[in-house]
Amino acid sequence: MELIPVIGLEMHAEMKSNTKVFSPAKNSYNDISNLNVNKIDMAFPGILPLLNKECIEKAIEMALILKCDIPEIFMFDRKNYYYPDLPKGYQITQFNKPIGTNGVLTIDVDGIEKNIDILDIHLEEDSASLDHYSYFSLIDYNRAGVPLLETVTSPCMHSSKEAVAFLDTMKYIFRYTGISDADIKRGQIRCDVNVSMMEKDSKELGTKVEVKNVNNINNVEKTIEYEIKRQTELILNGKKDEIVQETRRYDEATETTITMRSKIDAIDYKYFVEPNIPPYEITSDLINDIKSRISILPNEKKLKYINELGLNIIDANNLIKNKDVSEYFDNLINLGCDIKSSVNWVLNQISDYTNSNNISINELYLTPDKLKFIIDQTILDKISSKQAKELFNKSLELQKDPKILIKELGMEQINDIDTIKDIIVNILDSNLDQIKLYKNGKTNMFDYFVGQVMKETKGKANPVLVKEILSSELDNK
Amino acid sequence: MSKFTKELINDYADKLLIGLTKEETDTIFNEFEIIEANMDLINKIDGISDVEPQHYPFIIKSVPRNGDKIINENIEDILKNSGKVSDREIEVPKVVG
Repeated sequence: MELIPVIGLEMHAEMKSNTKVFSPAKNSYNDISNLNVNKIDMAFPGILPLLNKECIEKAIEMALILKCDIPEIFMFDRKNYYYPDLPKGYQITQFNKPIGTNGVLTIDVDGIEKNIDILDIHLEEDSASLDHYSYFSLIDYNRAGVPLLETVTSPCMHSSKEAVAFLDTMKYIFRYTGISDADIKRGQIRCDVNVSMMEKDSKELGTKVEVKNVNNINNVEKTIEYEIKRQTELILNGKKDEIVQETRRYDEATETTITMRSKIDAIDYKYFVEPNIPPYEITSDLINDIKSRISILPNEKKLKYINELGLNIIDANNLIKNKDVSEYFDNLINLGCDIKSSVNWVLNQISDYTNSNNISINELYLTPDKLKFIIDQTILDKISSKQAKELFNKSLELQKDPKILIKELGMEQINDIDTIKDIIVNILDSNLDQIKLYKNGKTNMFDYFVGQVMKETKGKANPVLVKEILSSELDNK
Repeated sequence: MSKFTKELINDYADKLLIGLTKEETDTIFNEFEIIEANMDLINKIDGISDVEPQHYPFIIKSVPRNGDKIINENIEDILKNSGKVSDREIEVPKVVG
């Protein structure tokens, strides 16, 4: 029996905004508990939510990017449940009229394009976070009221690889547009993962299991892999009935999923329209205005790199992964830097340096114009690639302009033919035995002489000129 | 025959995290008969199924705030009414689920 995994995702992304979605408290990650707090988010009696225009517009922007149908009004609903992290006793979300429905996102899975159907995208508020101790819990309201965008896909994915490609694509879009920082380390991306197994050629879906609140993309991958294995084994061992519709959670320690509650215990959220926030009209003018502000998206940029700059798909994919890296590369190209060299420098030396020093490319001392100087020196054969790397490292170490440093380090290449010729003649005059060996057929002595010239000039002689002059001088001997 | 049963009432009470005594269940069950009768009456009004739900008493539209102005409040002031406080946080019984 051949089984096919069927996967659907609910992706929650914390939005980037100055203030929270329903209160003027600051929206930013903070290690100090209860710093970004306001009575509205803590549900003091008599409070009313104050809708944030920035969040509305960013939610519409994402719905447009996902090619969703957008309703004429923006309205909210209440999702009722009781838990200490939810001070109001309900979450303000969108249930009846999400900001986007029937969308699509094209993803790239190992070079093959696939369309992911988006059922809906909606704006809601995050809950507070709980710090658990042995006998009690403490509530941190910094996260309460942080705007969340939830994107719900149809069950159209069939492998963990597709799910990861979808999440990565969404992550890049969030970062490029500034809708979310999508910072995994800060828990800004969380997913509910729905997995079932379907018999090949069957039209009937298997029993769905939902794994709640998986907190990073690696764990989503592990969750799916584990559920596929667990459900497949049960089906193949004749225990299909043991797969029940239930909610599970991912346990990082054991890399397994654990039952939380069955469908019988499912919470009835008693959704109803949020009466404290009247509808907000979404006019065509507003939509056109937001459309005009959408910046270039990662996929568009990738196509530009491949079609206009002639990059291969691997380099293009690596460059678009990080908006700042991609913009740095764009700046190099706009300055007229050699394309191939720019790709190599950005994806190798710069990437290695920023990763090992844990800094962003925007913090790098070598701005694109400074790096262009180094690249140009190698293109013009003024310095060797080894010298270029040394100049790069010294410039970062000393925080000194490579234009000044190249002189201070005496790196300027010797291109004067007479100077190089004098050095070569001197070296040949003091190596008569080696010339004999060369003349008697030991051709690798040529490299020995090149090495001597480089040693004499401390690597500064232009290697192309050295080889030309040396060859000519040896012929005359 | 009523659509509401005592089991249904107890199930909803459980979901609302309130416990009902037998007497309370009986009282609510009897009240539902009256509520149901009234709902039946309303449902008999001509064209009732074509009426859109009215969530707001007046036709008004939201005027969202500009999200730039930040107002963080002092947590010590906010926590003055709290029962148990530990440092800057409210302490609650441990609930993990």
